[in-house]
Amino acid sequence: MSSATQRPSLSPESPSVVFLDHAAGSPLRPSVADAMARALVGLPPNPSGAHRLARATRGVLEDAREQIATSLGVDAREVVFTGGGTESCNLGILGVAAPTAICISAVEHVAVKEAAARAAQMHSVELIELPVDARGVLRIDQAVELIPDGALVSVMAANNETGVIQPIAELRKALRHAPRNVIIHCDAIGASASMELRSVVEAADLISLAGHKLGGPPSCGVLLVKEGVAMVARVVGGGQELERRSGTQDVAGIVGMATALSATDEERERGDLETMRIRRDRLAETIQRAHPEITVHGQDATRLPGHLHFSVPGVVSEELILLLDQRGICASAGAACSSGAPQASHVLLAMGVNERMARGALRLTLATSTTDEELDRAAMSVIYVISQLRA
Amino acid sequence: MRIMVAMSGGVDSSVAASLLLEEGHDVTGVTLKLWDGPSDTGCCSVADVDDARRVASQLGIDYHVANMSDEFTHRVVDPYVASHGAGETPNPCIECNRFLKFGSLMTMMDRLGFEALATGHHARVQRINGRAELLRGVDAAKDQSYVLSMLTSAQLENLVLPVGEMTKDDVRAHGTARALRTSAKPDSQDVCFISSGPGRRGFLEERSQITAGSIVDLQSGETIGEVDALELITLGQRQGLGLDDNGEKRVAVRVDIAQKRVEVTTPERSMIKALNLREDSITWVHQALPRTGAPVIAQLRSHSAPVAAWFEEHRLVFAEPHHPVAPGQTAAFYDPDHPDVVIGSAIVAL
Repeated sequence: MSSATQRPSLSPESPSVVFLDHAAGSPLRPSVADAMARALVGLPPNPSGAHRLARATRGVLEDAREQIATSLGVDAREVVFTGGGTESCNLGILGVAAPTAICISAVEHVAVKEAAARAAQMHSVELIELPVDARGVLRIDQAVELIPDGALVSVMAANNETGVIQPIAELRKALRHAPRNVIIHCDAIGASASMELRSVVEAADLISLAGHKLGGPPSCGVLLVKEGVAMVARVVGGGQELERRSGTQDVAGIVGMATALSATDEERERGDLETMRIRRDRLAETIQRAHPEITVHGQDATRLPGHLHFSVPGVVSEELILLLDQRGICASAGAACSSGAPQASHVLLAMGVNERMARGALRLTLATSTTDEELDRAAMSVIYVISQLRA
Repeated sequence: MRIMVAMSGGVDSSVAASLLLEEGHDVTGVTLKLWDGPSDTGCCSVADVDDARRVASQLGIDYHVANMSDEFTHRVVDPYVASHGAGETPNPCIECNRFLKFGSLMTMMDRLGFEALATGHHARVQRINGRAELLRGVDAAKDQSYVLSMLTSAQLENLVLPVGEMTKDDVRAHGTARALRTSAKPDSQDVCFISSGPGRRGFLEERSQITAGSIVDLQSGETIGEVDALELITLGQRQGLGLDDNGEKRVAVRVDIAQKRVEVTTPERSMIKALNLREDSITWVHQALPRTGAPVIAQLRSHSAPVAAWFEEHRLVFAEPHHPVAPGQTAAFYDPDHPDVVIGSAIVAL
């Protein structure tokens, strides 16, 4: 184990460190850092004053709002800024007035799950779980049967663990055809960095986004609220965000988020996502060739191009992560409790993966900036570590 | 050496990690996530994990959280509940040490290529005549050799106990000098998975049957009172069981949940001459089975005074009459010629 005694540097920029946990949040893009630094130089932070300087700050804020609206193909008045992804999901679920039921997919993020449980309690309505198949894809036929008229439905654009993309447009179509008049909230937080969101934005009524998944700042989120959706604010006070959310806006953070979102648009247009997908598939193949015993989750579904989530039989996630960490490879289990300890993921269990396999999950997530050299190093380490633990 | 330090989020294991680092070892901190439910430091003891993580970052060492909650439930919590149901008073910390910290974690330490496991226990590992021995900690008031008495020589070979040579005051001073976040943190006192709200009673009630019963005087055979939870009575207990003819508190000497009774007697008559030990629970540091008549120093509680005794088969015979000891409790054995040296342990039988 002499290789591990030489500890890699703590800096993500260090050449000895390979960061493959982009799904947890990517490091701030340099262009974003620059835009944030420029945003407020010489301006007061509060855009809500009656004087010229507040108006100038407001101008910066509204420029960013329009930039985000254009990127997503919505009206600027439909963009509500929040304090981050969890708050967006909370508002998108707890802020919907008088639903007849709360229906969420079995693979939602805990920010949606907990908000949905609270909403069901608050409105004294049923909380209905919509099943997924073994690939992790929503079963639309069953969903349509389970969802009553007037329900609030929350289904994510793509799963944060497996990267499996959900058929939001098809769900909307099937519900219209049924017919069911429902409100759809879509948590697009995990999908936003590596997926064209136009079809999701078109199909859903409420869409949650978060800055830090885009290479933007954390604690900065967006909830798109389509025109006509009746909302009740959950964070109340000055009513700054069109009475849907109170609190002084984080203008620099919002500028950072707008810049990050535009950067992802440029990457997609350049074809960087396709390059990333090819790299991801090559990484998966390399590991699978050495260790055919691993199971790649959602392999047969349409997935985000940067996600590789797999289980190693007879091994627990924390041991894989510890050994990879020692070799400078930053990875994740995919699911952790509040202490940070990996746990059997409810996503994998909902897909029918057994508990033992679910405890041996490893998630490697790429960014468009991830290089072939980094992935070669990661693959070698992953293969070595699996061999060591299965010996 | 590459050493894995089990960091609980307390001052002792924080300082253990710091000491090893300053000695030049390659140190990685690991916290075990053991309990899923509520605890006095937040669900999953998040506050303790945060403290350990912060200390690791202050020290600049690698740090990970390992999830052993399923095994903890299976090996510690479920037996704890079952043991109460059988009229015993179990010691869950000893079972956690046996199966988790020095079982699964030690195996994990080895599998991950570390050379030793370190903890913050106040006890010492020393090589005496070429063999690893477990000794009491230097700070008598904080000595934790009792809760480690089930360790075998094979486990001791891979164990480092850096704070065993220090007093608690010295440990805190070391932490304070390095501004470690946990330096002034109070010692943990209670069972980690039982929160002060529902307490032991609420915890057991949620998971098992609680039985009301009669208090029966052992001499007269008469029922002299009632208790509402036999499972919560510890043999030897003197609280809540009424007074004897001399005005002294009566002592519980037998808890019989099937017959729904607790037998009590006077403190004088409650004294015992010997204890039965659970045969399958006896461990020896060096695997040497005791001869009948072999003398030992026995300690029956975490910080009780050690007493002279000897073995007769699977019985521990006291040199002097002893207060009753609850079944489920652990007896730690020390070498009469070297009273600091642990030689083995056993669980008191029903």
